[in-house]
Amino acid sequence: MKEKLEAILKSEFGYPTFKTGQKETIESLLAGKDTLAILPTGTGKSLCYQFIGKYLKRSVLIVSPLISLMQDQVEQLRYSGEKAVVALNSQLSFAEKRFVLQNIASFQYIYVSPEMLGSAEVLNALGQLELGLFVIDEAHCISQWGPDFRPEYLNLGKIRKKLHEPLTLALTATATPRVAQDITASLGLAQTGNVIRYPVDRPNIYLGTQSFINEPEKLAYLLELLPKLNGKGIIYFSSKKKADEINENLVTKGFKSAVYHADLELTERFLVQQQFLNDQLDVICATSAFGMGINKPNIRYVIHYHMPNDLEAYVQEIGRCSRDGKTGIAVLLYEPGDLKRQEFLIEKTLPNPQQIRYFTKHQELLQNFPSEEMQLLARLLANGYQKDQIETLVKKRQTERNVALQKMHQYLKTGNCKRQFIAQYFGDKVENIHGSGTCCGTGQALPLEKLGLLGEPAVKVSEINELDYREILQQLFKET
Amino acid sequence: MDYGSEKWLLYFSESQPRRPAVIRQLLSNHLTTSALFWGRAYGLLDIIALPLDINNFEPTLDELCQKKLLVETSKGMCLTAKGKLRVEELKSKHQFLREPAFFNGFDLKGWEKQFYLLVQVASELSYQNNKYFAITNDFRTQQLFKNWFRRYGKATLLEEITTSLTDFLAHEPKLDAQLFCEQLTGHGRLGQTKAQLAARYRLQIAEIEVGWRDMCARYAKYLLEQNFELAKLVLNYKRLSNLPASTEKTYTLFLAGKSIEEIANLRRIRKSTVQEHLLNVAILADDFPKEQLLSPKIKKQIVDLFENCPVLDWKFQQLHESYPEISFFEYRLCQIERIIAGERKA
Repeated sequence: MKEKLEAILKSEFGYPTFKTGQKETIESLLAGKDTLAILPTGTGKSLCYQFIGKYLKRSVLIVSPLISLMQDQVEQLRYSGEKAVVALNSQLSFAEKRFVLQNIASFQYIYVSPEMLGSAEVLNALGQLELGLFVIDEAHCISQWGPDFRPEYLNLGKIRKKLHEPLTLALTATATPRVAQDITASLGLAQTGNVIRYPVDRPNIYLGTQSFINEPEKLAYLLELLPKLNGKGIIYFSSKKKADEINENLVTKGFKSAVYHADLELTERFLVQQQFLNDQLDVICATSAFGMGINKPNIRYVIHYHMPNDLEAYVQEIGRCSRDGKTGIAVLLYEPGDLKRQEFLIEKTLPNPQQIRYFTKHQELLQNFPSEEMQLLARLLANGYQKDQIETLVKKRQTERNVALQKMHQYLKTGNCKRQFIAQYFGDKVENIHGSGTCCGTGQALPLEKLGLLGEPAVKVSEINELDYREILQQLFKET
Repeated sequence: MDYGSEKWLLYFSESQPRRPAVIRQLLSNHLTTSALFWGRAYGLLDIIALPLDINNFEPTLDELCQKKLLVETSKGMCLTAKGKLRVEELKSKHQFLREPAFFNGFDLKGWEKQFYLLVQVASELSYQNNKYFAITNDFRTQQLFKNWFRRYGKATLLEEITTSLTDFLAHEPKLDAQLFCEQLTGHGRLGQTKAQLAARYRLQIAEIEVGWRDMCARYAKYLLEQNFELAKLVLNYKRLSNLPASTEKTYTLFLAGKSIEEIANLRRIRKSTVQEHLLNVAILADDFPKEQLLSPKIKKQIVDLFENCPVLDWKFQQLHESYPEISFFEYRLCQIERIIAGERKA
């Protein structure tokens, strides 16, 4: 079987070898075992289920929590030549949804949002299929202990039963042992299931943190650091405004930089992402909206201008660095105001007691409030939660999230090995490379030269190849 | 120069005082009979639902008054002489919407997406490449394009897109054509974002945005006028009617010969609502049969009474004192008739 799998990998996907954990996951599934695969970022988790779809020649149903992520994956599949793929989500109109459901058997890969699975019509149509595989992407959303909890994910166990318990694959990059346990229990995989876990650690990424007494100092450091860095990178911000501001600063200084966040129109987001992938940009100033589904192997640095709310998010975001296995660097910048900001953001994303009281009585009004905390409330209510249950849950989540933020803060401050700190948090065992000088550092000068990341001054007057508009048209449309 | 706030100057006149509330209502598509009436009187119906950000509209006007570019009168705001000069300066330096009426009848945002996709697909096809990421993953946009493509095919697409763009752009100012083309994405070429163009050409992002929308709208109009097959794609984005559905129903019954009372009974709405609907149609449609609702006798009484008075200065109170039997509805209808007649003369 071994050679056969590799031959299919080559012929169907064009890759010569499997990446970490892919083959183990595929073999586990082909042996008929439900599988929870916790594989580090950048290992090509989606290849696992695409492979099964091709191998079994049966439909694969993928539950995915975010519309943007779903669209990205649909586009990736289409790009690779797979046309029998569809995304069932709230973006479809009534007529479009009907069309898709009536023709559901003609799609090999069906992406679906967890909300959609709540509809009896959708579930009936899917129930008619002989599914080859049921996939839960970002499976950590099931756990109330995890930072990305989605109430609809709790129904997936029941839904799985309604779909006649198909072979199931739960995928995630980050799951603490407690979260992993939640996933298998909630999906009903605990008895028969197989858990495949690889450490989240990426030994090729240096982990650095730098603390400052105030924001101007932090900014000054960033502006001094950037010209020294070789290669392309991402700078993450919690605030769109700050991302805009610093991007503008960088553009004025001659950096090939662009901004990416939710305020950009979709076409502009597409353009910025593609320009970055095509090496037309050196750096992206982004919020967490950027990076999902981005598979650019030669991103050499990920700088956090603001710290994320938890280590799960941090590990995901720095995981976009150096996917080609070469050396990269992750730098987390901090000033005292940052902790307060994140605490405030956490509070803002959860409904307060007053909102809970009011909206449990006036549920119909909730649709007018698109903010995150209101949408969470709407989803809880839609899933049958009562007022008291919601209050308890929100309180619990507030505590959990603050604990997670404190962990993040400890990571930042710890003078011990940061790699071991992360490994311990996720329950992983990783090799100790602390003595190598390329492992991590707290407030130390970054060993850029040793890491091979010391670059030519990146600021150069970019030579713009100015084409006249007629030449642009000629370039766009090749004469035949 | 702060183009962002000074663009509002364009909607004011030196000779005719205009009420800011009317302009805001028109821009935000909040179409009361009064807003439509004054919009018609100001010659501003073209700005209905223009995609402009009207947050801070009133405070910005206050600032413009403080800068002595606008002056407030009892009947509204006027441009000062300084304001008028600034408008001319703005017009010579900046991009402005030249096809605003197109927004009103079409879903421009939808068309923009379709246009991006159309250019990308045509470009990739001309290089015989089918391995690329679509610029929009919007299901409807893709579906509408596929339907069109199945019917007309690659040859028509390539032929029409190149000839129409070349010809359309040849009649545009060079900079406009340049900025427009820089934003297009196709084979081996990624469009520039608005922020990137603004930085490179030292313009404001708002100008690039407005210019792009303007060009998209006028290119669509060009396709329609020249009867390209691509115009079939544009028509997918036409809004069915400019009239709100309820107004349309009232008007249909009226054209079928029903009286105002009958319409009110049939539709179970108030008589005054029926009258508002009909006034709205009279304002928007020049061919509205006003004479059916306004007898020659009443019209003559009104016109004679206000003989030397500009139509916007008429006072209903004054009419009411002389002819208590004439209704406000008839008075308004007569006013509309005079405004439209005045426009024709001009």
